[in-house]
Amino acid sequence: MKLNVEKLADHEGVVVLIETENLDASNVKEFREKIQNHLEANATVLLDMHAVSFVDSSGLGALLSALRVMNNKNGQLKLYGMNKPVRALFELVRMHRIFSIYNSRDEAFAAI
Amino acid sequence: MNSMTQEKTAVLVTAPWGEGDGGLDIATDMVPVCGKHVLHRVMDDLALRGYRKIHVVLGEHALDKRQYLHNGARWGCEVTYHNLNPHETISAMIRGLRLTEEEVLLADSHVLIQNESLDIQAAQHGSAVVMLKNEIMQWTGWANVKTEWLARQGEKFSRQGLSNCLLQDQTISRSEHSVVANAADMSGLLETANRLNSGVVVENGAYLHPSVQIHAPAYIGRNVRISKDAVIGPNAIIGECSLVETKALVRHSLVLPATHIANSLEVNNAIVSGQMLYHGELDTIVEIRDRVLLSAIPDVIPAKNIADLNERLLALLLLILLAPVHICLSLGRRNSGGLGRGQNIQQHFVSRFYPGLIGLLKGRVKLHGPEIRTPEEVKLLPPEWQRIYQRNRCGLLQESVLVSATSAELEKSIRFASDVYAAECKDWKAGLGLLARYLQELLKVLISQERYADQKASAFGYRKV
Repeated sequence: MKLNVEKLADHEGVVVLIETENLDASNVKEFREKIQNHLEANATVLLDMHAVSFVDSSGLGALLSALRVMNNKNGQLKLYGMNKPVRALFELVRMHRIFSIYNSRDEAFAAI
Repeated sequence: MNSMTQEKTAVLVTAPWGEGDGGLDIATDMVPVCGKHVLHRVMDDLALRGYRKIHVVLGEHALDKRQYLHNGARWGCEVTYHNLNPHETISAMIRGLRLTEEEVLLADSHVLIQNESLDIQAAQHGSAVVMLKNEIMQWTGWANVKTEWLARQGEKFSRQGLSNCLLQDQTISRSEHSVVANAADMSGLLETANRLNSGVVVENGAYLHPSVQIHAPAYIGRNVRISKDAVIGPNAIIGECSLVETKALVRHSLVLPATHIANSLEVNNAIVSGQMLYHGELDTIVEIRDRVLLSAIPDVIPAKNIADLNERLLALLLLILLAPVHICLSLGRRNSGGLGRGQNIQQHFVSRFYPGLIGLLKGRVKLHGPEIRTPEEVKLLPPEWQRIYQRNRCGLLQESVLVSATSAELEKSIRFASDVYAAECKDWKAGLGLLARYLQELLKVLISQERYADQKASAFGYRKV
């Protein structure tokens, strides 16, 4: 799994593009390890979910852990570019009520 | 064969079947789901299957349905209406149509088609849901029948009667997945077969926990089980034999028959069937691969395959070992009129666990529901879901249901939580662990009850006999 990280120009934060199609039990450990440094080092993390077409329960667990890390230090974690099946899954398990989810990068930026 | 016989004909029964939905403010098949009435979806499906002549049998809400379907032109069909008089049976009405075609599709207006290899696809022209199937494997209200057969049926056309007739005469296999419980088994649950409030219909055999919230309009099919704190409606249809778990929410949605909705899920603006979820607002179909969340309740396996000799021997051993405990608790309940402290687990033991062992021994019960998760898998779950496991005394109470193995025994079946899973589960180590935890808890309660009785005796200065 590869995470493409881009520094935000105007804010202390990063945009992280998850470059994997599936975020599931097979790669969730790797995702946790790779994202951890960015969560600790930045006040704002925007997760670009464009490439992700499937998330399973362990993937959701990893995203929740990331959210918890950011909440604990009063940081922000925002998700955007989620495709429809993933969004449907988020709604099914009520995660859309917990996460800040935006349709586009611009919308996510505007909400910072 | 004349030109008329080349047109495929369907009889769409929108009138109540047997128990019916009398008195509703809105007909159950007119409940909007994902912005479209179920009746509309049924018509979509009929048109897609090439049925061009549709006889619509009208009962209550006739005017609404007539106005809605109009002349059927929007589906490219020719719709003919037939009003069902209050004293006329559906069978008499259908026979009175004097259909000349050899085969007729008999359809129930509020039931969509489902089969084992259900495939849900978004139609090209919009958000319609199309159920594809090659042959009828699982009857849920639709059947191709011969007109001769229709003529023979006399007055049998109640919902159950029709089902039985179809099973016999058309050799259509019907899955026996109903969750039926006896009265003793369903302590704390409300059995109802009545209309609760205006706009809410609960069919026979459905069980609702008293804490369930139902907002009209809502329709709950036969043998549905809805666990505590679930919220159903508005605009919800729960198909027969489905299982909606604790705190789940279903609104503006259709749950097709024999579907398991797990704890705390939110089904909103969706159609769910097994692991397939069609999201109306997003107009997307997603397969939920995690069977713990959504799953189809599978068919029952024949009794001989259920419990092998080892499992039955284990059940027999447990029956013998736990007989004294069962006798004590039963006598205690009879003498004191209740079970006293820790009554939940005691009641569970007396009315579910122990009878369940007998059922297992006879090969009458079978676990339904998702497979057990390993501890490693549980660790990967979000914390909220992990707590489901931690909260449940036996680990899987909310995730599985045991039902009768044979249709003959269905009405007598014993449904109880997954404790007997311990004896039946292929992962015997995990099973024994669960069983040990259960018995340990039971023991703790019994000991604390004994101590409590001692303390009470000394406080009041009398001697315990």
